[in-house]
Amino acid sequence: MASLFQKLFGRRSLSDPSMEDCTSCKATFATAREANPSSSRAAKIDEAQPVCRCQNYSVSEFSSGPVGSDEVLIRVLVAPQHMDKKKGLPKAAALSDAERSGLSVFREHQATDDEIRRVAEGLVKTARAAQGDKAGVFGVLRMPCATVRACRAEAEDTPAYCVYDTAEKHIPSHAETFQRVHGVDDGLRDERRKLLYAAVKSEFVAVDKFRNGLLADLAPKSGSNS
Amino acid sequence: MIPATLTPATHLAAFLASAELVATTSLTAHDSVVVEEALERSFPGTPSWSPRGRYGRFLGEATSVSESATLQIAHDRLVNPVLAELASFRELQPGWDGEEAAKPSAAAINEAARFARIAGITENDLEPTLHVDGSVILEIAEDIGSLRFKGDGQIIYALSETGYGVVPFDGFTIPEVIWPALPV
Repeated sequence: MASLFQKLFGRRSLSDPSMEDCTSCKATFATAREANPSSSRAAKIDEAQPVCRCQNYSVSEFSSGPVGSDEVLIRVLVAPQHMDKKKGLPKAAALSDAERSGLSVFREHQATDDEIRRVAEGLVKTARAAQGDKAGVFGVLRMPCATVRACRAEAEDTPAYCVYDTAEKHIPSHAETFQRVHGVDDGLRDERRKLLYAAVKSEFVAVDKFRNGLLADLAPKSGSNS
Repeated sequence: MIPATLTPATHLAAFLASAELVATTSLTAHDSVVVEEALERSFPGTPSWSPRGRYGRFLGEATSVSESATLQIAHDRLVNPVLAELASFRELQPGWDGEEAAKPSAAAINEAARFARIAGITENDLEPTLHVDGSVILEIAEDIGSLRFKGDGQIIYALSETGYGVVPFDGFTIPEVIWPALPV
């Protein structure tokens, strides 16, 4: 039986998957991809599709489907500024891309060695052009998707982070995490980052331990890690 | 009123000396990386060189003061590792994170350095890092939290003890809400 919402608006409620919603989500992400500056992507997506509404739909034509909460996401870390040299762990700031253009990650069970290798080489090349040989792959941060989606500040009753399947043609396992930043002040953004970091920091894998040393030769050159 | 024995000039001189600042005219200055910061302030209230009580509260009478100076810093001569790392951020170019990170803001670096100096805490207690938007973050040891500087005269804080928010920062006085989070 049709709901009152359907009768009034000719469509299903927002919580039900529908072709319209799926199309709307894909359109939102296509628009956000062209966002200028790209740093506004997180805010634009949150404004257009609040409360992680598109997480239940595939937002990319190259994707195998929405990211499941039982999946693990991996983030490659190449900036020495995001590493705590004394502890050998990443810093919370390594997650700050989620507030801006989106925190790019791989879906661990889908990502091939070749895919990860190609992307990591590109990251290192860019980082070294900007700051020299002290940049390189330090390791990866593994983030259970359920942990990311469950993160929220104490007073919040809605999720602080969303995870979407933003697969690309040559990187089909690509996904992104966005903090919900539309209308959110800087203090709360930093609090959420602190909480997410606390929840995932123990899952860091050093470069020599990751996939049998797949990226070991991309580590910062010895002695240049200042 | 300013105490006769502690004039603005002597206070500023002491401040500059304690902050490991290097003038380009110094015989020992390296000429590789020297950055310049125009330091200016003017305010109607009590100057920071007035006697202070607990937590930096002013005890002197209010007056009206303004002053300016040029600071020149060579980061490879800085002994304090926190200040040296902050100064090194100036050399980074856009994309330093391998993606689309913005070039660190010079104003944000200056503010973070001022905070580190007046807080007087060491590299064991503060870890400088960067937000990809170019703002500067000082992470406090033991996962106590973070202080972020955008170069706009404010500190964004997220601290275990006092919560989160944004407070004004004049570059000379540590906001009260941040004191409890700092190592003794």
